Amino acid sequence: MSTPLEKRAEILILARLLSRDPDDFGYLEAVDPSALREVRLRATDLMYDGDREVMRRIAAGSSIVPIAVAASVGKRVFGPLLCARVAGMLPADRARQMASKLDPEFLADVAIELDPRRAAKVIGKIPPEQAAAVAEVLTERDEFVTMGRFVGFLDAPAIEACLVVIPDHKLLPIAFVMEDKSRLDPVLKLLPRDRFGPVIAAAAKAGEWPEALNLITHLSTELGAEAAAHAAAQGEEVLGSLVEAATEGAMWPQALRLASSLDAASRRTFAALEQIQRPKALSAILAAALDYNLWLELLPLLPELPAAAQRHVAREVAGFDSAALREVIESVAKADQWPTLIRVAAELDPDTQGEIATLIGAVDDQTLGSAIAAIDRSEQWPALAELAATMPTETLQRLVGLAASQSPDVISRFFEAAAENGLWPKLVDLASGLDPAARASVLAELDAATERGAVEPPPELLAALRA
Amino acid sequence: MSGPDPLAELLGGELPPGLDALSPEQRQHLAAAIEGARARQSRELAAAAEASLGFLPKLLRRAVRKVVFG
Repeated sequence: MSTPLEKRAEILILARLLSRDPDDFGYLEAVDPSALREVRLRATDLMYDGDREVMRRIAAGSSIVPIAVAASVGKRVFGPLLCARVAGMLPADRARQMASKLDPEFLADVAIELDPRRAAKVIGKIPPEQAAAVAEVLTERDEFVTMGRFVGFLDAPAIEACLVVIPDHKLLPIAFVMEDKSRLDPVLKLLPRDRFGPVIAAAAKAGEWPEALNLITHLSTELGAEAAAHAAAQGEEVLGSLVEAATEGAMWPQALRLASSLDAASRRTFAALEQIQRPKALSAILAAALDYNLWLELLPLLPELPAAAQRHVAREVAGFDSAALREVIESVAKADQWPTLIRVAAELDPDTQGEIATLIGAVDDQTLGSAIAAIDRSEQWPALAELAATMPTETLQRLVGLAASQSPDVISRFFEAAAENGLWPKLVDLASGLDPAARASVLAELDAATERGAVEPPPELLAALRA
Repeated sequence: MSGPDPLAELLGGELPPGLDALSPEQRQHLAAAIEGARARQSRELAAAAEASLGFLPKLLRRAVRKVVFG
């Protein structure tokens, strides 16, 4: 998904190429980032290829000069721009030998002017200690765009050495403008684990949650979960600032992905945050789930929300159209989150309950069977019984048949809950469809419930069960 | 859009559809910024190349001039 942040990153990189202020190109925020990237690459080709023949001859000329002399002339006369253009045309070994004679300050100047694509062989073999020395200079100058362009071309030992000299609070700005985001995962694997927390804390402190959330979407599931765990470990204040940033910056699609990676305890902490319970945040969360079909990410969070927040969710779900409700049910089935659905559905108006009940009726027997087992495990029969009042008879019959096939205890618990909800007339019809063992079990359950004063089954139901 | 597109001409042909979001004036501004950067760098490169010969040892100067400038 393209976000304003991705556009902002592309504008920063283009402005750096053209040596202009990014604010000169505010109008480019209307352009898709992939189109901006293509313009930048074509502009780079134009700038580099125009003088290609002259550069090739200069490279050839420098090759007949001793390396020390060439390096000295390079620094004193060529300057960083010319060195950068010639670098990619020199044999890689000679370029590396020349670089070894140059100081990190000058090499940093060259790096700023260099198109790494054209000097990939040289960059790929740069010794780690030299890469780190240059990275240190670039970091001090906040040359994030330059560093971001090089990440994809350095080998692992060089990146590891660079990571040592780059402070925590500067890693995120570099990652944000990284040319090749697919490298983010392997690069982060080289970062010592004990730096994850400080990097996230620095991002929160600097108000860089939007950038952090944007980057998390580029991580593998495994690293995303690690990032989420480290974010959670920062405590409620940091998580609260994440929720606020996600709400204000329309970043809930990304924040939901992060939240779905949290472990159970952290998820509870997250869901209990005061900031997440604000109506504006809840509405933004539901809009994100609806727009990007992120129900699988949202569903595990819902049971942990306080009751008032769950009621707010239910009120918004009541406004969904049938297609949106179907999406929800499909995700519920995939994630086996039936107890959550049933709990939220209990808060809905009868019309929406009816619509959900109909949609539940459309799922196959195996899925419905899983739903029954999950509801039984979580003791959600009373809530299901309430929903059952709105179910078409055919769905209810399937439900009862499947519950009965699981065990007499399961069907008995459903009947007891249904009886408590006053579903007597429906139960009479359903009882006659049960096999004798199930009828006997339901009867025993109802007798016990009657004895403790929980229900008062009408004689026609008891008669149907004894038949 | 009517008339030639300066950005497409500069960048060597058809541009990605995402650029349609720009007005003719904005495309002109972007084209001028790219061309300006290219021209400036080209001038800097030519000056640096010419100046470099004077800094070479005399013995090498002739040979290098021959390779670079023919």
